[in-house]
Amino acid sequence: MSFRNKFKPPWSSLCIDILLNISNRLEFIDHLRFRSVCSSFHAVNPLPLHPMFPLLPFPIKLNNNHDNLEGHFSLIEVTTLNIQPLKSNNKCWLIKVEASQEEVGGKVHLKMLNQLSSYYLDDYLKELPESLDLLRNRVSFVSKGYYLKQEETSLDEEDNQDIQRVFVSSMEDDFVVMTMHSNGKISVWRKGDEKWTHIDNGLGQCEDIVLHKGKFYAVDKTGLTVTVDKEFNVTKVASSLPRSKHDYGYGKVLVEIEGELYLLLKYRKRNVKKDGSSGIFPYGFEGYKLNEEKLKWVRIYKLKDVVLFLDPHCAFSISSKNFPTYKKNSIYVSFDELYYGNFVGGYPLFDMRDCSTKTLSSVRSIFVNFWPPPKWI
Amino acid sequence: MAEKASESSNSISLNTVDGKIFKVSPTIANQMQTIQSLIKAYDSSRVISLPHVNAFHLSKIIEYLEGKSATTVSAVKEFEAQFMKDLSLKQLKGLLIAVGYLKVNELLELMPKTVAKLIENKSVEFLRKFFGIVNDFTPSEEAKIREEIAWAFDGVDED
Repeated sequence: MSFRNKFKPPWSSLCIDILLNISNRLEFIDHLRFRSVCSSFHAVNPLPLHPMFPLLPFPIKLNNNHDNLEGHFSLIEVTTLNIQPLKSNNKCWLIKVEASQEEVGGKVHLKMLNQLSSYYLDDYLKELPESLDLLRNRVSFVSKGYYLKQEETSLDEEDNQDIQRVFVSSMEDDFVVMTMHSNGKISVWRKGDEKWTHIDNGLGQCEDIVLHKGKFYAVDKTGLTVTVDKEFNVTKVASSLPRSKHDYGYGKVLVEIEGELYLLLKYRKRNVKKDGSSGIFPYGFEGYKLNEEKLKWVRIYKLKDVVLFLDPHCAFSISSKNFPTYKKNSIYVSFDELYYGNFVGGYPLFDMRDCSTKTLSSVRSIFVNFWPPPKWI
Repeated sequence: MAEKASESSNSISLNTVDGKIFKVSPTIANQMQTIQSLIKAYDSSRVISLPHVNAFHLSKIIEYLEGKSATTVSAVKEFEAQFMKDLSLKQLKGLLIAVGYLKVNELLELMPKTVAKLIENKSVEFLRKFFGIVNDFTPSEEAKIREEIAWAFDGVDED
């Protein structure tokens, strides 16, 4: 019987169908690594293309004088990546990039953004290596966000700044985009639609949206939360929050932590300094966790090992177990808040343990985690 | 009773590489495309030999095909999750090869999904260990691949 030897065919002889079936389910970076395993994996897997998005109709708003405008929106993906050396688990470097691949088979180009901001990093680029070696480093997705860029339009750049959040749900043939505007209105677009659809039934002024478990969630000023499915049906998932001493706060953030949905209520702190000036730490946060069965938000007081980053494109969470250089049970706010002048005197770090806001002495000290690039890169 | 007798006379015998004979109903057998085509080609009373499948893998496949006929979608999902969870890594790999050989379509959907989840965010070295594959690239091929998948930082090489 020669069967014994044939009994365990090596993985490299796995039929092409199975290999493709596995690789087609992988995210872009995983797919690249998969085809670098051996020559047969490489031969059967074509070089994957960075996801390409359809063009979106422009403008979004209906009731103004934008009716006859030409042009379109491009959807831009912004990714936070974690880069680690292969041999070490306690070193990491978080970067925020826009990745693009110009043509078929072309190299991926990374445009760096300031961490936790919507601004490009252009001042210190010389400190970067020429390229990022995906074989010598472990590169993994941490979070994904999007923004819309208007193209071939006659409007100034500023006109799209009132789009505050963009989320994308892409499953098999479905491709749906949800946007939230600064006036609290939300609009959705499904691949193939000529126009955006405005969602307004039952919702007040929205303060944040998110994609969670493949569904869009929107929260309004009172904390009332709904899901919007791909047929644009609106379903309530949580009632308004009880009015706290902070009323309904000054804005809300929806964020996914270990597969569950959380809500942060941002409130204004009234700590006036001795000299009478104020506004150093204008914000604090109350945390809530969604209980979908009871249709309510449940107050929480600690985040355990979780570190939250209020990135302007998409808030995200990491575990301090994997990222020991970040302070656990804490909230890192967006750097954009510094640009808007909301914080004076240093970068604020909100500590859930005692609800205090600590100032890191300089922006540079927080940048230690982000910049300059580590030597091992 | 007559029906039962005809069913058992219809059943198909499969002989695994380790010499165990399984009798399965046509409904089950037909969900394995390779066997389906063999049944068509041969007289159904003949025992079909499966040179690449051992008894454990075949019993798992039959367990799956019988078990997933649960009534509700959520029950099927639960069954599938438990089915995958019960497999060790080694069993998973062997089973996937058997499933690929027998062409069990539904498992060919489910199992790659599980494998994809397991290799998410893992290094190439991990993948090689996972699949038990030796890096067979020559240094020059490896350099080419490195070049191919190196990501350029924009704005660095401009000056």
